[in-house]
Amino acid sequence: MAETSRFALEKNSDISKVEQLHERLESLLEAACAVEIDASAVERIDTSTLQVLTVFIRTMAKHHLDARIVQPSQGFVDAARLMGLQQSLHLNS
Amino acid sequence: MSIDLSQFHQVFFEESFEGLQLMESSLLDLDCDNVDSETINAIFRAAHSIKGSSSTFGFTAVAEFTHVLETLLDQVREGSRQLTAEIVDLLLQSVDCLRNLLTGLQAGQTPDATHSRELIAAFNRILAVKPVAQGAGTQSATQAGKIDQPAKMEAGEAQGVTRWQIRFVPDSNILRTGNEPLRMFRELAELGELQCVASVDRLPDLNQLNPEECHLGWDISLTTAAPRSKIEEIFEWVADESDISIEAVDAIVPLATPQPDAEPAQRVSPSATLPEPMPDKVAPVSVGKEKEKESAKAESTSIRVSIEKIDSLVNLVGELVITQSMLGQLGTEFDMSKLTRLQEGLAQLEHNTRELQENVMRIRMLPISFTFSRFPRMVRDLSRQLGKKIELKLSGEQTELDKTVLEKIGDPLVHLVRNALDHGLETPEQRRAAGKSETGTITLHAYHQGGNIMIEIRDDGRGLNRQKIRAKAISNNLIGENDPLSDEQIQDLIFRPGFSTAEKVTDVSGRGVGMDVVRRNINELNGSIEVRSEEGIGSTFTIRLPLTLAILDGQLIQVGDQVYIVPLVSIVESLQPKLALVNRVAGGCDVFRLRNEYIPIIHLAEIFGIRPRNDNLEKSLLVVVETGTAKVALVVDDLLGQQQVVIKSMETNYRKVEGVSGATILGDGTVSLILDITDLVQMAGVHQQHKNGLRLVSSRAAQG
Repeated sequence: MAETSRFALEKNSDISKVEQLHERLESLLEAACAVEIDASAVERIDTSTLQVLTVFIRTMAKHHLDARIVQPSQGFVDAARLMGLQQSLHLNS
Repeated sequence: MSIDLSQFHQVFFEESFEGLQLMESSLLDLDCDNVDSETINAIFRAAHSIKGSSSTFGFTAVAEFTHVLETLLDQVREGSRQLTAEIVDLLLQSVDCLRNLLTGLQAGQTPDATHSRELIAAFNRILAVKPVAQGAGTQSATQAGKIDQPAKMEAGEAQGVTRWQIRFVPDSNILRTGNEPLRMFRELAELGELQCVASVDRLPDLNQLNPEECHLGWDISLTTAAPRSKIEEIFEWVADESDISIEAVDAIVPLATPQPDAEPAQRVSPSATLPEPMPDKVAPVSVGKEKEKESAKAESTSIRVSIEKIDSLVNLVGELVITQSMLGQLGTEFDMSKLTRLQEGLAQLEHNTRELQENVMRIRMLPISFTFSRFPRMVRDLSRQLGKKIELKLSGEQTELDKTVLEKIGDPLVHLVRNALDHGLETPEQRRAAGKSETGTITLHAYHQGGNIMIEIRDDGRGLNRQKIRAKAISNNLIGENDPLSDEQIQDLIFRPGFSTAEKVTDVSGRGVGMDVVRRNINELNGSIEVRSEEGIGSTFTIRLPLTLAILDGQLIQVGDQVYIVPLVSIVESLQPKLALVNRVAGGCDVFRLRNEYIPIIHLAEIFGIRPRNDNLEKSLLVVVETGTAKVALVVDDLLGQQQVVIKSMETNYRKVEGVSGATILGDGTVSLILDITDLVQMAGVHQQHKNGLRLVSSRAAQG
């Protein structure tokens, strides 16, 4: 079974940190291994972060790589649902 | 690249404080029995705007607090909740609380949310009581299974609800402008049942994504009783840059009917959503709080200027440039035949400069309503605290004065109004016993007089008790037991340091430190204060202030080889003295008899240690100046001209010089000192020491 990278989202994940997150995700994409994104600590999140996560999961899928949000906090789930992104982020599974 | 939102903090704080001011004054205007919809809307809008902006800037404590406030206000404005005095009180306390939160944030501190939490709890207790829709009669459809439904939905039950289909494709820059779709959706969710489907077709691959741009679009289904305007309101900030369509799909859907396509998982309760996801500090770490403090500092010295004033300046600068270019051209090909044109050009230049100067000064001028506006609230609260019935009358609020003066006069005014409330006005029982109406009146009146602004603080209370003041002054060794003092002089004693006749120290006013500070602060602004009072009738404090601290109209005077400037507002008259009218009184002071008044003479040449041109008083001139209630005559060699002078601070450029309030540069480039009349009078030692003596001489002379 392929190696899985796991990293955790910050408590406050918003536009001020989205560029940093984007770079991190790009490096994970280059590493070409499965990724688990731990969203358990998230208390605040915004559109930009949800968008970059969505793009990451979609791009990973194009490369036949698995990327999953794990242990999402209630806040994360609510925000994703409110934005209609729960399916794209595979939160229903 | 991250967006440095801290650059907008200053504007945010300014607007928020303005919003709070508006909320406060509107709340004070509200009549619980007859709620004016415009007023309640104005309060709601102010709260809504503070909520939105604070949310954008990540000031969650403010955003969360205003959210609860807004919910209640919304019910009131929709008529589903009756406004009560208790709610108004709570809302006023909220204004204070928000002001404290914002002040803390502005200073770069973490705000203390204790008070706001208490208030939120109080609001929640009110909100827990189901609002009664006015005129809804018996229609109270049950909300079983709809616990997420906001209370405002109930107001719309009578009309039924509508399902709206909204297509929202924002501009890619929306996130950079601080307009957060998540916040908008949360506001939509507050209106009713919300289902959102994100369209991800436009999303690029990860390596092509600019993470600060938005490539999402949404198809939103909203079932709500709210009208279209409410939905549009949520999108109003982004409407111009976004592709938005709002269409009613099913009208008049009974609210109790569950929506078949509304999956439970997709119902989102606004209360269950996250707080607004913007950070406390959006700025890069290196900027941090230092920058926040800097901007807070900058805020205290900023000014908001109307576009009209700016346009007028731009226009004037344009004219100045035309005149300058005309003169420049004239200079290159000048001969004596063009002298008239040169003179005309110079006159035009003078005209332009003066107009420009006046307009620049106007920029600093603000209506005194900025200061007055704090009093309705203060009077309301204090009258309750003191158990007094008080009516506040404000007039002349549009009178303009310099921003610096305006800021500095606030505290002295507060002190005077508090004093009037606490000591001046009687309790309803005392007033009834004195044959007055139970309600006391405090009047704040501002107006222009000459080159000054006058502010009167008038009350119809008990007036100053002269016996009490005198006894207190004697016991404090301020005066001797047998000192003959006029009524005005006794009243003036209240401005002495440490003087207070209050029987008990209250937290409203009266620790015996106050009136002296009030006078000192006003004097520092080149102003003066005086009091007129009649026992049993009331007191009037009159403050005289200069319109501006930057420029003054001055009279140029010659003493020896020096040119001094006397503020024109201080000058009563100028004359050539006759020796027969000059007397020497005990203490070695010369006085001049001007009609029926004896006026101390100050020899400027002696004070400044210069040699006068004329040793003979009859060949000199006397300039009679007024300071507060005292008049003195300055001996000068000559009167030159009058002109407006720009005041340069002595303290900043050199050090404080006694008898001089500042300096200026004259047309010929020489420096001229501006006389400080109050200081001069004290230097000459004529103010208090000789006042009694003068009075005696004066009365003897009058008899003779």
